[in-house]
Amino acid sequence: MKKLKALLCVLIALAMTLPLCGCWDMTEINRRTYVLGIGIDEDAPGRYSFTFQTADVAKDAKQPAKTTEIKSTALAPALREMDRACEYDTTLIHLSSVVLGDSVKQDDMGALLGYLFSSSNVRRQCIVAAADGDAAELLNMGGDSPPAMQIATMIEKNDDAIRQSENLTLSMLHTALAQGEGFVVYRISTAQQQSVSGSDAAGGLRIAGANVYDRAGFSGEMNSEETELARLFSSGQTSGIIAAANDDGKGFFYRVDRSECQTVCSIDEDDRLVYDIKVTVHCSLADWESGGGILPDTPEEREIARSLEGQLEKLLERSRGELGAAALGLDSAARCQHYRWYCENRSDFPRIFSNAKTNLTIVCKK
Amino acid sequence: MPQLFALGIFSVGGGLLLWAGRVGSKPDTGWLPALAIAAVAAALLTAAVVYSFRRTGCRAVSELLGELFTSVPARCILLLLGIFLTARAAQTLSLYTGMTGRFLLPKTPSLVLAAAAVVTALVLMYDGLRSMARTAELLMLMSIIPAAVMLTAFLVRIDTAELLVLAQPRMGDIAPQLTPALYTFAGVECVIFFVGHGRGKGSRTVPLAVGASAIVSAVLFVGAVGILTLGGVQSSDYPFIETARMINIGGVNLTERFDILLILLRVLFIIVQTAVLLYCASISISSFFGREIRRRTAPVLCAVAVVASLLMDKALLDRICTVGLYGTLLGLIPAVFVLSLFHKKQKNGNEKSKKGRGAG
Repeated sequence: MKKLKALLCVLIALAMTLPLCGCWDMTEINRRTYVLGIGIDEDAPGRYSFTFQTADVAKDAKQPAKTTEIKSTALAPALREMDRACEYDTTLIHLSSVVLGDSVKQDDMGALLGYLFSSSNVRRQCIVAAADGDAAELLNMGGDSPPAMQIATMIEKNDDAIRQSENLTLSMLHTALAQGEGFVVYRISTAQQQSVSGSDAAGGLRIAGANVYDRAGFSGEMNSEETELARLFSSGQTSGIIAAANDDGKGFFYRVDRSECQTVCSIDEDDRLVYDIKVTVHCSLADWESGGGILPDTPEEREIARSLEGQLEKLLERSRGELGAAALGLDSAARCQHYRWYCENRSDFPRIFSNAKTNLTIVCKK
Repeated sequence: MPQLFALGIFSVGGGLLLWAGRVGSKPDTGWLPALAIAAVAAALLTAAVVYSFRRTGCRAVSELLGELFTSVPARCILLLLGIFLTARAAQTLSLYTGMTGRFLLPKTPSLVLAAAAVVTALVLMYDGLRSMARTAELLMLMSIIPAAVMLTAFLVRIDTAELLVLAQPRMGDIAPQLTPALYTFAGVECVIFFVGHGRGKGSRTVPLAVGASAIVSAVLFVGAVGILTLGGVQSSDYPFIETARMINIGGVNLTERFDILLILLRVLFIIVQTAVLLYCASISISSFFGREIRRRTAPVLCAVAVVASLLMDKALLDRICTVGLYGTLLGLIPAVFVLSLFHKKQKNGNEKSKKGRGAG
């Protein structure tokens, strides 16, 4: 009896090793096609061109990645088509970025994000970005590493200090949509023109601005300067340039070394939203007009603060107008600080925010 | 003590929010206060069970119920308990196949996944409670480091601004949150099956296990809200796994796959919990027949649990389990406690009088 029991145990143990290799799901690592990036452009109304960038692991590969273009009406049939076109099973487990062409910026982002999120093998950390032109052109750009990874690395590195890159990932964008909030998607350009601070560029890529979406869809665009300024509304910004003039009217440019932002949101007696925003910026002199020679008298800290305040006020005005609260992350501030109120007024929030009062305090430290 | 503690951790701590979201009520701002209330209630109920065993001097649940309710009602209660516990095992298996099928092995048929889990559970439970407790202890020791790593990662990545949401509970939200909070302690009802075996130890270890499970659940929930936001937790079927997939500390891609660690821990919990539930169910059913046929009922109940997990409507299964959970926690255990208050240790009294007569 004991021998029979031991034999039974051995048999069960052997049987249990079968699922360890993955059973029906087993695919050898060299028999998979890893999709690193997906570019989406619109060819004609309702007809899309999907560019799949896949890792090329062949020994004689000249480029680290290759692209396959598939025309379809939606991502799901395009992925099926891609599966058929590839020799091996395609997997999205290493997806680095999803790039939306300029032609699709007004399309339903909810459907795309919802589809990607519902698929369990899509990488949650993949960056969602927009192309300042065609997505296919961006993904076909050459380089030492695949452009899809370059885009993700640039955004991750750029915003690592302020953890904003986390807000540009598939999971965070999907979460924002799930709770009726807007979000921002960076617009990437291949143009050689340098950005204002030079910090938003890497390799042949640069951040040309941002597309802003509210719960209803695309709400507007920010240029590269506004995108950098918008980051000051969350703590930890380490890039950006502030222009200020001294008493003689000479222009000076200060680099933002680090920043802190405190946003206190309250609701006044008239049920009006009030934001008290205090931005503290630590900056250092980067350049001055007709730079070189003897350094003229530099502007005082309060002059720099006043200059920055003017720029931020303009951005706040745009945010209250066409862009919406998501451009500056002010919708999540209201949700976190007044959760019940926000849940009750979620659908009316864009209108409430357009009438919001903002008290901006800027402190500059050289 | 560690063996019973481990068994308590595995039988109580498997619930969590992961399936609490399935029972009709998604977590909200009132979840943490509700969890605190449920933890106190679970600890009190455990203490009541321990007291009942001490008071009656019984060692097994069938003996205890027979003593308090007389034979026929006790058998009927045991049959109901057996059915409920089998349904809970089916619910656990359904959760396991759903989670593993979605995140780990999407092409593997659910039947194979459920059968593999149930065969492991059967092997675990076949040698009895002591062997199961030893295994639970070993697995608990193995789980401590991965669990600590994962909890630390959760805490490191929290966005404290999102936690402000949890500081705004409304009194009206607490009552609807009691069911999902109570589900975190689903498994505490199994205590009445094994606490009698180590009465002295059980009084200390099982409430400790309940407390530890409550703390881990609270940390996981707070971490998930801090990372995924409350709306994200509410909109996801598997919020903790989604949260674990979002962790990317310092841009190291390795930390993105914390979900594997979490799934691994969940699988360990689910298998041991299924073993505990089916073990208790087989004791109940064999006690209903009045014979020691646990070894024969166990494989039958395993098969029933697998079939029910695959074929039964999930909502119906959840409803049966919720009714059973409330019935056991709010009906049976308090009734056992109250009846044991009036119980006189007749056995001990008779034995003493016999001894007295013998000496005389």
